[in-house]
Amino acid sequence: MTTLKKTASMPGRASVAAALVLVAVGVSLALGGATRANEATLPQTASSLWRGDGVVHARFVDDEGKLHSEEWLDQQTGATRKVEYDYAPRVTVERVTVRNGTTVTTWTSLTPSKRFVYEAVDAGDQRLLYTSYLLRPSRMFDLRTARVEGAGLLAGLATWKVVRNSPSRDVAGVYTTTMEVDQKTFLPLRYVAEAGGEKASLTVTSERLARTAQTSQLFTVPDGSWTYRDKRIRLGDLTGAVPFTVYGLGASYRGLTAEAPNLQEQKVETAQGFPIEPELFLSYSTTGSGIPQIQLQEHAAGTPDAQFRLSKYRSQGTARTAVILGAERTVYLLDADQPAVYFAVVVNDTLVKGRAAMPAAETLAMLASLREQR
Amino acid sequence: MFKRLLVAIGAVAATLVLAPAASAHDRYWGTDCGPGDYCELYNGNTVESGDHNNVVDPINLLWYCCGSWDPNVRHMLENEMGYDEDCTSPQANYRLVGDPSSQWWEGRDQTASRASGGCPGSRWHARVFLGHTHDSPVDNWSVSDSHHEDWTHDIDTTWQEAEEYVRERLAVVFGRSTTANYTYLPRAEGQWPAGGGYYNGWPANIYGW
Repeated sequence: MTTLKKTASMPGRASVAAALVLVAVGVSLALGGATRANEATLPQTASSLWRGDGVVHARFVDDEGKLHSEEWLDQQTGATRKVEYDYAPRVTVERVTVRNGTTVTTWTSLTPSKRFVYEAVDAGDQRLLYTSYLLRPSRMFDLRTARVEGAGLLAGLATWKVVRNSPSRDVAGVYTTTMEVDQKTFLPLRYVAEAGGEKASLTVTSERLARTAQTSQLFTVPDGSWTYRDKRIRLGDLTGAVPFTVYGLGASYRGLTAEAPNLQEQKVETAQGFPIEPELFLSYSTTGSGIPQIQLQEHAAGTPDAQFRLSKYRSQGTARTAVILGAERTVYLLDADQPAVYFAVVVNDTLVKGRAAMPAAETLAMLASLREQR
Repeated sequence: MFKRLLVAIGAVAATLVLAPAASAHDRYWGTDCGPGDYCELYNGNTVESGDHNNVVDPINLLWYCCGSWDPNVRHMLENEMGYDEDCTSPQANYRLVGDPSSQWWEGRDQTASRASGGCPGSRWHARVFLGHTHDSPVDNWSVSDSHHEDWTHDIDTTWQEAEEYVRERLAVVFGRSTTANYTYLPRAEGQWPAGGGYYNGWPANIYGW
């Protein structure tokens, strides 16, 4: 375990004294049995603590001493590069994730030219949360999806123990993860996961590198195009950004809030021999839940891809009718007798499909409320 | 142990290797399934074992031909993907089950589960749902929900990437025949929680021979 090593000059006496006080406080908290964090000392914004003018290089090692992953963090821009090592028969696969601003690019060492690109519009986009183990604790804390549950001491460093607010489910009931972070930087020193009576951990060692032209290359993506692209678009900016007319329920519908639409494009073909066409996903959720109650999935209706999809609904589904934008249209429902139904309907030149967490009658009423979104 | 077809590495991203029989391209619900018929029926999602109203994962992998759990799919997951752990939570998938003499539609629990690591910690994971059996095991099929769990037990990789991870590895490293976007499953398409993202509903197929 090493501390972050600054490449600048040695710290002065005041800094050393302050550090000793911090360590002493940490020891006092640990030895005194105090497990509750002193909220007065918690940062308002954890992400401000790791800022600096260098590059952090971290290694995550598991309990067997195997290198789980490495990360680099540009302390000035917040850009990250994560390399995960998947050890498997014959070939260890490296999976690379580079995040720069709100754009994420991933690829593997098996097919490095096949890029998955995600373009968010908000820094708080949930997809961005999964791009870095280094920044996970501070991001979750700032989003208030994790809290500090206590303080401790790890290899001489004062730590906060960060846990998510809602433990995940697992076969044994509860899965908990404790992210132990350096109080000075809010960067992790250890991840500890527990489930079903078993425990596993990742130990994090870090070094600080100077920010140079060479280290800056770590956060750039090699030349090349994307194979898969997901692009968030703000509601209201759809015209011109989506190659077909989008239909939705506005910014809100019956207490549900629209999430930023997502346009997905792929440069691939299907086994049937036609390309997968651009698709627009538009969901409505209870504010802050992240769980869509209504999902709309839309394509240009006249393509072979859309027609093939519609054919599945036709052959498997139950046909009903709904008046949408002044015209009676056939709606195909799957699971029509269930509390949640799947639906598909052609509205003018757009195929609108999806799922609604409501019975068939309410779903049809919802579809009757569709209007053009721009 | 198994014959392997050579696949051009450069074509992995858009492999268009066709399934054995042209009429078998359509994998969707029909009513003419019986002994000897070439028919696969399954929902495009999984549900909680104890509450079938709760949808959990999309299906993003098909195993056909030769999609029996044991030995074919088991061999690929354990010996080629390196998934040798079986800690899992139970899920179910609605599909046609039974044998050559009789088939019926049922929301049945997973046949098996394999993962690259145990329950605490990050890992690749896939449940396997075996469909009805045929006179010849070559015609058997299974489906899976390939995904990656991170250290906070969230899905941190998109379903599309998780699909490609298995398909790429089996094709590039082990030379298996695979087909991207094999067929469309309506219930697989959609927005999935955490980092799972937006899935297009077109799972890949892995040829088990």
